Amino acid sequence: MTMARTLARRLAHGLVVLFATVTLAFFLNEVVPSDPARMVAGAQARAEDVEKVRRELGTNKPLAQRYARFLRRLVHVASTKAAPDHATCAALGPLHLDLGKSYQKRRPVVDILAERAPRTIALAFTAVLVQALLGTALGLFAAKHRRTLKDRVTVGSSLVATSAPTFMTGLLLQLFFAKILGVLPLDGFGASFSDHVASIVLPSLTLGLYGAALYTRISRDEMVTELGRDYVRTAKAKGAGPTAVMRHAFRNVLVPLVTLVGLDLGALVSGAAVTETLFRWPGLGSLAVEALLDRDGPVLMGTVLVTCLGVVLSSIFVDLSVHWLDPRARNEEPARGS
Amino acid sequence: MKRRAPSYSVSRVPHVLVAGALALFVSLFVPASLSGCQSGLDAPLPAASALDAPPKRGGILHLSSFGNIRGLDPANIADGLVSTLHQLLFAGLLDFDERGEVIPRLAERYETSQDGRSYRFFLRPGVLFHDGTELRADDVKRSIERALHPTAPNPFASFYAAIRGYDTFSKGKSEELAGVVVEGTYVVRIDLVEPDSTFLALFAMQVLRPVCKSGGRRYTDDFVPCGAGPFKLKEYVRGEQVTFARHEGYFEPGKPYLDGIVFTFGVNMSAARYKFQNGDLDTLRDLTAGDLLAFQSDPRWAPYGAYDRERQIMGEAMNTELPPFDNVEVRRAVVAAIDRSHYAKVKPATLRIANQPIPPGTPGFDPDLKGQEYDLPAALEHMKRAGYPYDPATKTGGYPHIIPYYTYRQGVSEYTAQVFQQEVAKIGIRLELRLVSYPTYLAQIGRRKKVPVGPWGWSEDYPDALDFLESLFHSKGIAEDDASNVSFYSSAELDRLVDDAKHELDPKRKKSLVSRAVEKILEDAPFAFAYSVRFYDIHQPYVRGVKAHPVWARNVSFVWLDRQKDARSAAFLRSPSPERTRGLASR
Amino acid sequence: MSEARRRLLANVQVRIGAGLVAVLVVFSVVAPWISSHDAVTSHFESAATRGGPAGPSLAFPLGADRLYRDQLVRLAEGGRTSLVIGVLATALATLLGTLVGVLSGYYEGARGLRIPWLVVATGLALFFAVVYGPANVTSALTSAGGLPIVITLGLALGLALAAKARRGPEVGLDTFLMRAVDVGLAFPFLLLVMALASAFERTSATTILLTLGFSGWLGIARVVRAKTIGIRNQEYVLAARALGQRTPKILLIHILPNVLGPVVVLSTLSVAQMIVAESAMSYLGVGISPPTPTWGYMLFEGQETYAAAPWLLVAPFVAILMSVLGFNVLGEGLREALDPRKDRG
Repeated sequence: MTMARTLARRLAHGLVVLFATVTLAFFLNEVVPSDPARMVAGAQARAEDVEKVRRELGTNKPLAQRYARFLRRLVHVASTKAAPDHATCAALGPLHLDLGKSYQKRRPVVDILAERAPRTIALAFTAVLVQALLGTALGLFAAKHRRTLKDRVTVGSSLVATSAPTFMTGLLLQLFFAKILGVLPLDGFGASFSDHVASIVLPSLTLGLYGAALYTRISRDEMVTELGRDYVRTAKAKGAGPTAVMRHAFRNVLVPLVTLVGLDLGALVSGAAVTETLFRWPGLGSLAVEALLDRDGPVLMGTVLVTCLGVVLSSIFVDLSVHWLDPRARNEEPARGS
Repeated sequence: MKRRAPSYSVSRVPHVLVAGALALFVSLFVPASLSGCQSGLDAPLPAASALDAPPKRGGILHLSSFGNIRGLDPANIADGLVSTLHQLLFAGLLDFDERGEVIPRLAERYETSQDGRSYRFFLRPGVLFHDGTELRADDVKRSIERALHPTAPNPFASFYAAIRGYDTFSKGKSEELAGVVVEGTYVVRIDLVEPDSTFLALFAMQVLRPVCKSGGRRYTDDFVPCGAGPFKLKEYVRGEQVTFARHEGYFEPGKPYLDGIVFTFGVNMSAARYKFQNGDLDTLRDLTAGDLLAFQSDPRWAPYGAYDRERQIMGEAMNTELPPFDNVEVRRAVVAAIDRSHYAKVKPATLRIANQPIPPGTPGFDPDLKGQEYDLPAALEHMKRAGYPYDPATKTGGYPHIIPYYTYRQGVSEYTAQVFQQEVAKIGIRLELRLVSYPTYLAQIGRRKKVPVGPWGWSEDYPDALDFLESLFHSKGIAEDDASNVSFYSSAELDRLVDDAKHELDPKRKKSLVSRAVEKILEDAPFAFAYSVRFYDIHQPYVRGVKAHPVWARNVSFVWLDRQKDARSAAFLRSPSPERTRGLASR
Repeated sequence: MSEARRRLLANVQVRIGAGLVAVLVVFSVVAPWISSHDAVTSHFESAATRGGPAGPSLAFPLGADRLYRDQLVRLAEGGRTSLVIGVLATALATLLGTLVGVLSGYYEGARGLRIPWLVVATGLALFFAVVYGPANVTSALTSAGGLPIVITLGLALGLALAAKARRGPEVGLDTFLMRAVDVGLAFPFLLLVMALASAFERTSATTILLTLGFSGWLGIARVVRAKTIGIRNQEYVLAARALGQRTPKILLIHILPNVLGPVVVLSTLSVAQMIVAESAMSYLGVGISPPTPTWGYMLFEGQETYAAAPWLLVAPFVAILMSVLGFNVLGEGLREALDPRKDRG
């Protein structure tokens, strides 16, 4: 299959995955015994006021009707955004995307997502970058010095960082870099681009330290394996230096690493609620948890949709890069018919 | 022909690995615990001038909270945090003074009719909204109707059901609220269907406060908050920060003193403390248990902190419709079995024991009342009378079945649940704690005949003892779902006492009705009162004019800053950034 | 067998890893026994100071938790639950993940089931009718639970026809499994947990274990699949196929041992993640109900008092770290020792 055809096929599958996930989430969300209207009105609201809110939100309608309405609104074609029933839409040309209005925040969900998603994506990419680069660098360092003290200390420290929950790492980083040294902002987003860059360092480092261990361990082990293979011995015999050998072997280590990157990107797009809260970096993670605990259905479905999109795209990215990285996997069609 | 699979090489001296890991951990944690502990409090930042110096104008006050708000519309209040901000933006016809008494504010004065069914308010002429227009009587009527209209998501609407015509108005059968009458440019009258001793306190709350004409006649989600309070909205970045600037047209001359106020949301407790110590935040309220003790025991800091008044009551609600709590003797046994000092120990500087339905900060609290008390022999006696004798020495007898107790993880409730479990075990009642999510807990505890016993409590909606008695124990609070009386306690005598107190305008007679109602509740024991939560507020010495307010937490409207040097004000005034008021202007 | 055992016992890593784990297990089992305290009784008087729970002392070696209970005994009791949950949930996730990953990777690109265009078109038409159709069509189809019936019927019909179809989109085993993994990864874990919580009125360690196990395999499957794709065209696998070896045998002998590397890494790290994830679950009402302690729960409790009593946070952290290190080293050693083709020369 050509690359374009593969891509088209994967995108079509992606749509099916999207639909299945959203549908599943919509119905599962209804199973939880709880009342969105009560969460809006508050614990001390009187029954009659709760009932008023329930009517206002429309959560008193039958489930199947709400589901059909949800899908109908989700993607539709309309010529204008001016009409009152399109007030909560995001328009992409004639195509409208509408997730309704948040029960709690009383704003269009698409607006909330548009505010939150860029930050989450920025944090997800920097965090994945940090953990992949840091982890792989440590892993390669350990592989180069395999079976020495350096190897063990490197691997050991990465395990410490991954055993500590992110709030603990985050608090320590805040204390050290922001309070004691005072070189980085404690929390928040900042007002200018340079502020944003300074502000993203600690949260991405927190997530990066937590995630790096996996990359360290896998890149080290895979590298050590590769270094034991025939072609490396041959290269060495022909007089290739250790760095050249490592560079050659690294290509084969990349496949599992890229898979991990894809997994982590997908997972981080759904947000890292604890880290976001700790560093006052409001993104999709804290939004999803809030929505879940507030029983804010429309917002929850919005976060599910964005998360799913992230997972689907990163999954496609991984598959394509695995094919591209591994010529053997690309050229043949093994096991066909077996 | 098989090929040998590659083998993995592995490290062989893992104790080095362990040692390295622990060394790294220790090196990270030791400085943390050194400066993270009590010893590390910085000195307070002193004020520039003497204590008796007159107030200074200018400066920006910085506040923060761990929490967040849903929005700033007074017709849609659902969190405790927002009242601090509403107090800045919206002034009311009535307000509370520092002793908790109702006083006129935007109204010059008010009169009550002989029969107590109607109130006439005379507005102060020349009061300006933030948009520069004058407050008139029709603005008052419009704002009330806007907040109580059935399309407004106002969870407090039914509190005002005593206003004449509320019934038809709230059902959408009438476009106008008949009980609010404009009698002149500056005169407005409110009629009630029956005398109500709680009405003035209710009306002094923030829900019905006047909003600018841009608020319209009906609630909409896109209202940019605008009122007649001492500060106007400058910028609101949802979920992050709200900024206020002085309302130059505020009716009290010379006030407020501050140029502006910045309130940041979602700041975690340790970050807030660092910022406070650096002088980037001027007051601090969300304190970890350790920090709270540190500030309180440091003589340099102690003068600058104070507790709010307790205006909420927490405890264990026993469902009087489900066994074994349908038996009054079992309820009395539980009430006597719990040692309330153990509850307070869950968070020593924050929780305070409670033993009666009305918290100490609410008018109607009786400090001399004996209330519910720990008395283990009496509790065992009650168990015997209930038919479940228990012998603590042999641990035999007691109630034969395990009782489910529903709780959730938020605040201290999961810990008090475990205290309760141990306390009632002493009289032979075995609880099985069921941890559910908060929304599930809320749905289940308010459902009839679902939860035999669970944690419940009440925070003051308006400063009057009847709020507690009516919500928690009046049979009006019973519903199939969303009950507020989660003991499902129904007593004709109590209903009558509470209703009479509500209609009684004579304070003395009302007081006696209230104390008779309290006695009745203590006798029937549908609820084991246990503790209330205290909030501690601390500020830097240079924040002046701070006075604890009995109703409004963090009442900062009229404080002033007396800082030695402050570079932040200039930057604040230079930054015109209305476009960052996201989510407000766009739609 | 005896050869394997000899190698197992000779392996330093196995001994040290097993030693670490054994220390934790013995501590968990023995400490509550020999202590005069238990894990659930509060010592409101003897374990209290003016400001709250007492710090480490002779009677309470790790201090008291915020309910004045012996932290050391709770740590031990917590270990019983947490270790069982962490290890068994990881085992479940690893088994499932490896199985799916190996199958998926091995059959990547293989032929699958064809879904006839007719079925696809009918399905799409129905979908559009329900969602965008006129109000009466929508309400007819959605009322009285019509929608689930339509979907089920459609699926059944589609599968029946698909067995014989020649034209239409093809769904192979790999595609199906991997897209299912996508759905799983995209699905909000916390929502799943919350829904499960309402299904069980009371959660036991078993339900938590199953929840974590059945949701933790997705990442492992992806990584194993990638690794399998890399291996299946290696000469020794091709040779085995050429020799006519049966597929299960190929998978077991040639593929599985070679994907074990990342599996061991992932699963040893997952023990810690499972232990911590348990505490997150209790937020949504599926945690083990108090007063039963677990390490993850203690970690969260410690977070609230970390400034005043850092040892309450450090104790469960060190316990989790020790288990991670222990399992990590043990896993490495086991793989080395049990690898049948290990060159011991």
